[in-house]
Amino acid sequence: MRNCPKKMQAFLLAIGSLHMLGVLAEPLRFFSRSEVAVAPDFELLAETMQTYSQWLYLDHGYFFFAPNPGPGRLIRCSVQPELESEDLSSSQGLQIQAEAPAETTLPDKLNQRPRLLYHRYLMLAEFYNSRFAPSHISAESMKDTEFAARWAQDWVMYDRLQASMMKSLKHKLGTGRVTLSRLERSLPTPYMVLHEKVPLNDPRLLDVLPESFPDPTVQELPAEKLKEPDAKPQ
Amino acid sequence: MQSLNKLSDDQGSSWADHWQPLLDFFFQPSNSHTLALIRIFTGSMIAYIHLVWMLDLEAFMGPHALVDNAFWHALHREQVLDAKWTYLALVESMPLIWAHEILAMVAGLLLAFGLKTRIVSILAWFLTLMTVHRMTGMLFGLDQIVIMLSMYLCLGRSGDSWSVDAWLQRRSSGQIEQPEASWSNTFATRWIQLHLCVIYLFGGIGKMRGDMWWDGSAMWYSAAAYEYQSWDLTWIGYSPMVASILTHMTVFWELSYCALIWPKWTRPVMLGIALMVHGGIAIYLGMITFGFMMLVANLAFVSPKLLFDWSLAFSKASRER
Repeated sequence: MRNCPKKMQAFLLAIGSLHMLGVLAEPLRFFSRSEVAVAPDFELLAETMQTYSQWLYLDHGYFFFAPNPGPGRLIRCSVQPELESEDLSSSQGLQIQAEAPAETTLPDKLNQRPRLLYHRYLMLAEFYNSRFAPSHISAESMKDTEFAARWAQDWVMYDRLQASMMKSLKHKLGTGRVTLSRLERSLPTPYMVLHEKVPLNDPRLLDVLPESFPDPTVQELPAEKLKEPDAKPQ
Repeated sequence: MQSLNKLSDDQGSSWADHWQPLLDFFFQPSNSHTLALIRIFTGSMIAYIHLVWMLDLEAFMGPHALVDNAFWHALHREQVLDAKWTYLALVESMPLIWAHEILAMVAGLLLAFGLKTRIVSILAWFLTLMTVHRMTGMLFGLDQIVIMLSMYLCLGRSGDSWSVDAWLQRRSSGQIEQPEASWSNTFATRWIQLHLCVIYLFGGIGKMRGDMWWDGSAMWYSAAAYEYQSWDLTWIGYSPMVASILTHMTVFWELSYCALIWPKWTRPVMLGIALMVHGGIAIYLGMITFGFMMLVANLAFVSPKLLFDWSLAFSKASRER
């Protein structure tokens, strides 16, 4: 029987306790954040332990299917073939697009097998959607300098991720102009599936998400201008 | 008089005696069969994970990766400076990346077979950790569990049972003997158990923050997620009562796991529910690998003696057949 030397036991328990703090740090930080505040004690713990927990890949919130099961996130990849003509336009770097674009979706349940490979692409689509930042924000939002700086940083990261994925897909799918769109598949209610017989992969459940949001200041200004003359007595 | 003697004993007892139950909990020597079984499954899963990465390796790593090295550095070094580090984020050469993945797969297989277990357990964990750090954006619960288990396997003597190492040892000594019980097996198993309790506790707390886990509809909406569905589970919608009970059972099971897994009379119940929940996730929600590895982690709560007795009964039954 192999026994642990007594002196070593205390040392190992101390190390183990620190390790457990590393395991607890990230979920405690994750769950102690709200929209208005961050718990300073758990934030301090997480900051102290983060080098350890990040490198050992212990920095998880463990929120499987939580707080709620969410909609499916996908990426539609369109490849528009480019036909290079011999004429002047080609020599100037312009290209003529001819054929209809070929489309593929990530993840692809039919073609990505085994299931683990499909799941990797499913996670990638979730990640791509989670990194989304709109291509522009309203002039009103730009006045908040902190928000604007955060948005600018997020948008640069999203743009870089998009460029990386487009380059990879172009390499894989051949020449052509690759465009990516974000898709969201809504979760149907039991009534829709069981009574209306809507299949889970019904195209009506699939929405293309916008890459930028309409600018409310731009939209509202003309409406106000139109109202003002009407309000005035003739 | 007896009580006075007891009082005097208590006063005279050393500081260490009070800590003895805790020390026994972590350091009481135990056999390696539980860890050995976890080793076989974890090693096999590590090999499988790397095999699947290799099916589309160019899309995941190297100069044409979907998430290329430039973005990886921007995310982990420029936007925030985190401690995720991997040499694979510096490598653009596909032959080197292939070599890494093949080596990691072989290390996983050797771990499963238990050949040079001490070395390959560290190697399999480290190589998988390097891959995991590089694969930002493509990871999920499976990777968390595999890294966790392989890390704790490095602490124990999982190669002492059901391994090539043990077979070679028996052959060289010419004796058929039980592997020696060791404190490191208990120590490694305890950390798997405690880590698993943390996972379930926060999994449960996370669900309690969602209204669908309270109104009983989460089971339906998990079943109705087309991207996850592997077998049709929408029939559950015909019985909202069953769906609601299963939803609430999942939450309360996760929340109470860290307390009820320890007493001997509630442990089989908690493990039975684990089998149902993770079996359901594996079969219906298409996460076969994740569901399976969660069950493997739950093996940490099955005693080595029980597993050894089962293996004896199994081999006896096989011989009789």
